[in-house]
Amino acid sequence: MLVYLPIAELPVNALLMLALGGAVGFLSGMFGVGGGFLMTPMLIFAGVPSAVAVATGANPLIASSITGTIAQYRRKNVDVKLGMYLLAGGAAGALIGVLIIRYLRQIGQIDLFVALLYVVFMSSVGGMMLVESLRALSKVRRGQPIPARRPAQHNWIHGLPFKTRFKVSKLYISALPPVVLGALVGLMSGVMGVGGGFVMVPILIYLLRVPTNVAIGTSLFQVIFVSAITTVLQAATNQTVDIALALLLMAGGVIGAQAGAAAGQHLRAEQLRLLLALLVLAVGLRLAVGLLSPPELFSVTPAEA
Amino acid sequence: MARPFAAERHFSTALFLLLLVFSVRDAAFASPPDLIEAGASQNHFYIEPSYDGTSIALFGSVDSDRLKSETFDLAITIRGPIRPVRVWKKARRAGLWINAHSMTFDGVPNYYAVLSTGPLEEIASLEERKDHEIGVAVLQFPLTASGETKALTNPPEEFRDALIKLKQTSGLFVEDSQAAIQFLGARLFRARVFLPAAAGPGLYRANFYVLQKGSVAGEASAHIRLNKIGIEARLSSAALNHPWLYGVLAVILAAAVGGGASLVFRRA
Repeated sequence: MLVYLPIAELPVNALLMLALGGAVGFLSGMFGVGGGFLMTPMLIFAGVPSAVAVATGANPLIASSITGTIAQYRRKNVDVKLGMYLLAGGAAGALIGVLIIRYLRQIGQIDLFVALLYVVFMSSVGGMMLVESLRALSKVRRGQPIPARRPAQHNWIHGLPFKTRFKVSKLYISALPPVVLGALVGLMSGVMGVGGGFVMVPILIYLLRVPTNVAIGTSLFQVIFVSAITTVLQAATNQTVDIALALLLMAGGVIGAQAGAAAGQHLRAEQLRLLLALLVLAVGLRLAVGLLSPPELFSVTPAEA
Repeated sequence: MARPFAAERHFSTALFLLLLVFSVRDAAFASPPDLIEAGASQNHFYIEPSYDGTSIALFGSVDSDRLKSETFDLAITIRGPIRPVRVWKKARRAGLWINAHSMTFDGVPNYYAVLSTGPLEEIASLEERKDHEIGVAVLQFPLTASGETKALTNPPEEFRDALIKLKQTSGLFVEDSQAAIQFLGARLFRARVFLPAAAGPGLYRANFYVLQKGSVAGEASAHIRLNKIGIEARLSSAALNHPWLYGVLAVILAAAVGGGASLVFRRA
């Protein structure tokens, strides 16, 4: 079934887009990441112009992260205060990101920059998670207990000023790292059309020592707002948000999210992290291959008259 | 009795002079009836949600009595919408393949097709093909001054050829000398061209050429417009004209879908 997209000016297979939305929603429900890091590359792969893919990628994340946040909130996994601090940085980051993408498009380096960001973030985050989750799994196999919460070791984060208490996360840390982290993730959201959960969740867990389930819930919470800001900014500055495409992706996404959440409950936290690590690494590697050996030397972009 | 008769005579003299003036003007200014008359079965096509390209029927007649010899060939070009495009070439920098050189071409049709009754090289001379842009190989796009880097080391032909190759690969530049044009008797012809969905909305122009001994003996042209209508038109005009409102609408829609799904699945 084909549907003509009004902004992308292309017909797409509606079932394919529903399935893509569903797959991303499944990940969202299972891992607590928005899944935008898969959405945008897959849209481009499906033939959607990159400007539309990046601008529209964040829109369906609003729907799936609202559904996810409501579910997590009921389980008391959302640290609203921490989320607000993340958001304060996130709003500024998203604005800068959208402006950067505009400039990069003009100088023709948008694909390179986005691919580089993906490769750097995904290989480092994916690698870190892979090592950690494998270590945790081998401990389980040897019968050692896994602490539900990582020991409160003190690192440099704890030496920073403006300390504040985050009750749900059971943390007493400086307000600076969440704001900076939020800005970084907001920047990525604007540039890459992703919610940034795949970077946010590991940093919350490993650097700020937020419990895994609270990290997932809080990340989802702030993704709602960052992707909403990104969507409005993309629509206003680049005019390439395709509502028809977003609706198809969302419809698949909300159904996939429910299935993902149900599947996630049958897996151990370490297993979930291992799967997510492998997925992140795979996408990162695929993009790295494209940078090292391009399939086509020439490309065509619209030019301003 | 004399006066009315005189008036009547004056009147007929005036009428005669008037007719004379008209016929002289006609003989002096009107071109002879066209050697070829042609058009499209429809001049407007519309993009709806189910749009997946459209087939355009072209037809016409050739006044073959006025041709010097019995045999002639036909070529039809269809092109549009005309836009400037930028062609990028990657180069290896620090181990990575990045867009290093670019050239901006003006007046590039997003879609271009040639239909003909025989191989273009056989039915039209190179000069005629170049003059009328008949054939993908002879297409020329003017370079714009801005956006060129290192034009000397990268000749425009390289970029032009790459552009044409990419367009051909995506099915947007096509040539058909097989069965696209059909004759219904000695004078009437019809042709069918499929406009792929990726060709996009805008203005298209069809040029019809009668070819004899390699040169153009007569030509005609027609315009075809492809527009979005209904929801497609409303959404794209909102995105362009009210971008902030459009962005807020996108967020509200997503929030409604997300919130609605939570309610539905909680009950279930």
